[in-house]
Amino acid sequence: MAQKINRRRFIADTGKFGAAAIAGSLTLPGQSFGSLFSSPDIVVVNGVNYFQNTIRAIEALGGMGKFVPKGSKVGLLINSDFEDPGTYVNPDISIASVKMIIEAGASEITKLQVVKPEYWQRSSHFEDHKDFLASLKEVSSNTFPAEYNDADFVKISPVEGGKSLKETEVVKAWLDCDVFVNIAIGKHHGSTFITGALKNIMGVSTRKANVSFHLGSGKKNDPDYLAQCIVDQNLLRKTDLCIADCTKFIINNGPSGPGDIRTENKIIVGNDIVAIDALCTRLVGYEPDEILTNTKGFEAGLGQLDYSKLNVLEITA
Amino acid sequence: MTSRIWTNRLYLITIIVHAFCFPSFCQKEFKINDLLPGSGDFENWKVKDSIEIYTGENLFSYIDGGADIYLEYGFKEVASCKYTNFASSSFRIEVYKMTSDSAAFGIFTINSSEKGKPVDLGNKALLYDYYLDFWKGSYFVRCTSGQRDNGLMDTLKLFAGYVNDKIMETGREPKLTNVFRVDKTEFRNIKYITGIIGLGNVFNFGHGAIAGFREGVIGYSDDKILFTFSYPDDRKCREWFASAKGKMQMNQKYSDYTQMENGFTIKDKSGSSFCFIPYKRFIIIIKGMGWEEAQPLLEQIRKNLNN
Repeated sequence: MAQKINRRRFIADTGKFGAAAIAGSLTLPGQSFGSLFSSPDIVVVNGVNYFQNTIRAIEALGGMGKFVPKGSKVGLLINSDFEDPGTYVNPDISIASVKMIIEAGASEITKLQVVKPEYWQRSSHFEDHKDFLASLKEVSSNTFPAEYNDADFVKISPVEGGKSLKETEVVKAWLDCDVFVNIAIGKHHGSTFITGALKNIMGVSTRKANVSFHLGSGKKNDPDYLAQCIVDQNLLRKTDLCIADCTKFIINNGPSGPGDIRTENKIIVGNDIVAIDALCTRLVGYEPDEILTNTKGFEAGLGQLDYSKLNVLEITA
Repeated sequence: MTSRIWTNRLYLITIIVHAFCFPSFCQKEFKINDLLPGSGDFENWKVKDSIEIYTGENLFSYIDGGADIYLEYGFKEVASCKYTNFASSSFRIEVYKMTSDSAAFGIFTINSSEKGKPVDLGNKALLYDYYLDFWKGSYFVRCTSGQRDNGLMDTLKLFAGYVNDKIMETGREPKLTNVFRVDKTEFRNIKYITGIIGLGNVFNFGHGAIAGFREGVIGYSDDKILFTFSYPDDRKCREWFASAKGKMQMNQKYSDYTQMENGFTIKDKSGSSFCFIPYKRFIIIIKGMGWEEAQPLLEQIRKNLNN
């Protein structure tokens, strides 16, 4: 499954954004080093302090204020619902993200899918931040397997621009929020081969809608249909900020695991959801154009498949 | 006296008739959750909440997103149970009833990796850092601990042994795995697949390049990979082979296409050679060997496929 990738290392001084980069090799395959002197499209931070590195990454991208205007309502989707190591976003990353959103002046933060208390408690930063975590709103009925209700969900038919997805049921707050922050993990997935930010969007739809992605074409297993439905649903609402956990993730037996864990210690942020997924894809061990959600996402205009065309800044903390 | 003998005989005949005509009279109806330990079967451990059971397509309500591969192999039902003790340690046991031995073997192999250590359980079992998988008959069983705790792993093995003893089926690996019985070459990390989702989890030839097969096996030996796909008949095999040839030639990840007498070769970007050979209702693909070099191995593979 995973093909070995040749890497070159690129090292920069993380404390001094704007200082001249030390030319060297890169950790990201197929990527020429990003300029520290123009605004990056994507930032990758390498290192083991995931909480601090999330903050570094977003600051290097332009700061949370660039994405979250003061007083805005933020919808947060965190891939948190699995239990085995390497299958859920490291909570340090989520807590750092929430902290920055609050500091940016958001008036309201809503978790678009239920995040269980034990998820936050896995983080060593939980105690210091439990008060504001407790203050987050939540779409409490959106817990796996979610069922439609008029209060929290809306039926959409037809899906504008949808090639395969004709109707769906999604969380209202996802469509209504001012800013949508997508916190995903790049990992293996048994049906789509990788799951990242694009597929994370299935977290805002009901079980009935999601099963239709898998079975709705009439064929028992139709990866093409599944990928297209995922992309079609992404057309309903653009991701304003994507934060991808590529620290430790499973490279087989996804999405639930347990599986073999690869350690890359990377946090990837940006608002090009396709490019970020393409980066995650390489790290899991596939080529970006081998993954149907990536190619279909690119075809649908959701982002850039060839991330080398973007300004990707990579920093080692 | 005679009357009592006849009365006793009548009772005996009644019992025998019930036993044959109404098996439930003698035997409790089998349910998948009977395979799982209950609270009290092991000291200090109890069932948390209750045993969950999912059947058919309802598997999507249990596995958040990964049910497709089970359905591809052939899935009937799963019983899942979490156990806890007084110290709040916990682990989960899942018993998957598949539609056949081959399906159970397949899902076992697709979930396996070389990091697993073989243990003596079922038809085959692998122990990892914090979980254990085994297959037996048409059952695939997974036991997962929340913590990487050796003490807990010992308990996990005990519980797995309980389930193993309850499963009365035996089970055989699919016949296609015989293809790996080759002199001087040991194939390991065998995968058995029955569709494109299984294949995509193991190796990607490119979208739709290899399809239409009923079953396939993949095995690894040093830097070689052997793929063998089985089709319903020779004609279908030829059609799919022609399709594969076309798609591989058009795929920009591959180059140096060369038509051979009975097949073709192609190279990937790293320079690895692939030999594609149709044989009766099979497509054989060998990665990591040139055409001439592959011939002795192919001869043995063909012999194995003939048997």
